[in-house]
Amino acid sequence: MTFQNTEKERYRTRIFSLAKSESDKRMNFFLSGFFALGLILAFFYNTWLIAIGIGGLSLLAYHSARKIWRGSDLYQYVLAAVLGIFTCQYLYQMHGMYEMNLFMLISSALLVMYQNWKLQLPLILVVVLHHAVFAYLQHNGSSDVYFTQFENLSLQAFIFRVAFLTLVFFNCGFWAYQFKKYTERNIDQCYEIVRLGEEQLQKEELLKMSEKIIALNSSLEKKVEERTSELAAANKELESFSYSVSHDLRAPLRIINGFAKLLARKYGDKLDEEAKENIEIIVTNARRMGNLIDDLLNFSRLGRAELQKNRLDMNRLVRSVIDDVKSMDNNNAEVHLHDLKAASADPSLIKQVWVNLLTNATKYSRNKEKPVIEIGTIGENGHLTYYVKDNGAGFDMQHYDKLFGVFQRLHKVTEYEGTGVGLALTQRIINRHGGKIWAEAKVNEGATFYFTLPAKDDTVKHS
Amino acid sequence: MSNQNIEILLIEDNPYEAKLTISSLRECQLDSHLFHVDDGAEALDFIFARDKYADRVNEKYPRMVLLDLNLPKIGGLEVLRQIKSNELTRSIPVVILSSSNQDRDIVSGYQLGVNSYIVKPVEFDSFAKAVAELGAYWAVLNHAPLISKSK
Repeated sequence: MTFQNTEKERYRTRIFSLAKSESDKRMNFFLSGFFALGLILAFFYNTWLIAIGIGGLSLLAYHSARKIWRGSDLYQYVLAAVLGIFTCQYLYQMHGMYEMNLFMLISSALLVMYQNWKLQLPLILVVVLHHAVFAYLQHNGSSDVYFTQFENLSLQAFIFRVAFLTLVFFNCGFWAYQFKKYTERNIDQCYEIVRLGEEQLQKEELLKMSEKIIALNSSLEKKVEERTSELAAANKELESFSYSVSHDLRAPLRIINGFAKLLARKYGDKLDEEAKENIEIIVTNARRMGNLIDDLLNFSRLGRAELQKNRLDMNRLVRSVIDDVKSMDNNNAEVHLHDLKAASADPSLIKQVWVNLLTNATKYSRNKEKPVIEIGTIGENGHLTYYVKDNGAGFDMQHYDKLFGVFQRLHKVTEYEGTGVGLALTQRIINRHGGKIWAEAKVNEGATFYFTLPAKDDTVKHS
Repeated sequence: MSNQNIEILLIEDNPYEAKLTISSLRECQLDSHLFHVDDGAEALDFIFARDKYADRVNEKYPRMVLLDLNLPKIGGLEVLRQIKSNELTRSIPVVILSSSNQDRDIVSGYQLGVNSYIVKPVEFDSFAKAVAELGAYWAVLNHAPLISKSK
C-alpha cells in the first residue's frame, strides 16, 4: 500500500508542477502586459521614471525570486506582492484615479490560476499598506502623493467598500482553494482509473499465466504418465530380454555338462585319472558359468525391482535364513542371535541380504575348528545397524575397495568357491533401501559386516 | 524304421539335446522303440501318417510322446494342440520336456491337455534320473489306452 502511495505522490507532484509551469508561462505574459500598461499610462502624466523604475524593479524582484527559490512556491507570494505594487504604481501614475484599483481585483482573479488561496494575502497586504500610508500622508498635507480623494467618504461608504473588497478577495481565494481541490480530485480519479486499468491488466495477465500453468501442468503430467509407462514397458522388455538371454546362454551349458558326464559314464573305466579330472573341470566350469548367469540375471533384475517396504520382523526372518543356510551347508557353526530390532524394508530382498551374509560367514569359517557367528544390532539414533560377525578367514583390509565389486573376490576359487556377485548384490539392495553397508576384518581372525536400514516410518504397510 | 512299432516319439530339434535324452533312456533300456523327429510338422506327419510317413497308416500310435516346446516353424504348443484336438490321438500321453520354467508355458501346456510337464534340470545327473523315472512311469507303470485306428 505504501508503494502505491509514493506512486500516487509522484503522479500528483507531476500534475501540479505541470500546472505550475503553465501558470508561470501565462503569468510571464500577463506581467509583460502589466509592464507595458505602465509604459502606456506614463504618457498621461509623464511618469516614465515610475513606469520603468518600479515596473522594472518589480519584474526583477519577481524573476530573481523565481530563480532563487526554484524548489518552493515562495516566488508566487512575491508575485502577488508585485501585482499589488503594479496596482499602486498605476494609481500613482494616474494621479490617484480610483478606477486603477480595479487592477487589484484583476490581480486577485489572476492569482486563482496558482490554486493557492494564501496568495491573496500578500496582495491584500501590499494594497492595504499602500492605501494606509498614502492616505495618512495625504491627510497630513503632502501634495505629491497622488491618492484617491475621499472628500465625502462616510464611514458607512468606507465600510461598504472594505466589505466589497473583502468579498472579492475572499471569492478569489475561495475559487483558488476550490480549483486546487478540483485538481486533487481529478488526480485521484485519474489515478484510480489508471490503477484499476492496471489492476485489470494484471488480473488478465495472472489469469492467462495461471491458465498456461494449468495447461503446462497437465501436459507435464501426461508426459510423466507417458514416460512412466514407457519406462515400465522398457523394464518389462529388458526383463524378458534378460530372461531369454540367460535362458539361451544356459542351453549350451546344459549340453556341455551333459556330454561331459556322458563321457565320464560311458568311458569312465577306460580313462585314466587325469582324463577324469579334465572332464570334471569341464563340468565344474560349465556349472560355474551357469551360476554366473544366474547371479548376473539376479543382479540386473534387482536394479529394476520395485521396493515393497513392509514392517519386518527381523528375528523371525533371520532365524528362517539360519535354518536354510544350515540345511544347505552342513556345518557346525555356532550361531549367537541377539534380539534384532524390526525395520521397514522389502522382505524378500532383505532375506537375500541375510542369506548372502550368513552364507559367507559360514563358508569362510568352514576351516576353523570352532566357527562362531554372531548376529545383532547396534542401536543408533534414527538408523538401525545390524551386524554379522564371524571368526573365519577374514580378509585383508588393504583390498577393501574390491570387497563389494561385481565379480571381485578376495579369495582364490580353489580356497573358497563363489562368483563374486553376492556382496555386490547385497550392497545394491541396501543402497536401494537408503542404508549403508561396510565391513571390518582381520586376516584369519574373522570379519564383521555392518549394514544400516532407515528406521521405521509411518508410511509403512503392516503386513 | 518307420514301419516299426514305435513306443516313444521324441520331438526335439536340437540334436545334442536329443542325444542326451536318448542316452539317458538307453541307460534304462527304453530306447529300443524310440523314434526321433526334429521338426514339428514332421512329427504331426508321423503321428497322422501323412506325406513322408503315409506308409505308417496301419501302425499303432506311439505309446508316449516326448515334446520339446522350442521347435522351429510349428511350435511345440501347436503340435500339442493338434494332437490333443484330434479324437483319435487325444488319448496319447504327451509329456513336455522343456528347459522353460515360465508359468505361461506351463499353464498353456496344461490348458491344451498335456499329461505332464517336466522342466529339464541343468545338471545332467538330475536330468538322467528324471528321464529314467519318466520312462519308468509312462512306458512301464502307466497303462496307456489301446487306441484302435479305425479308419
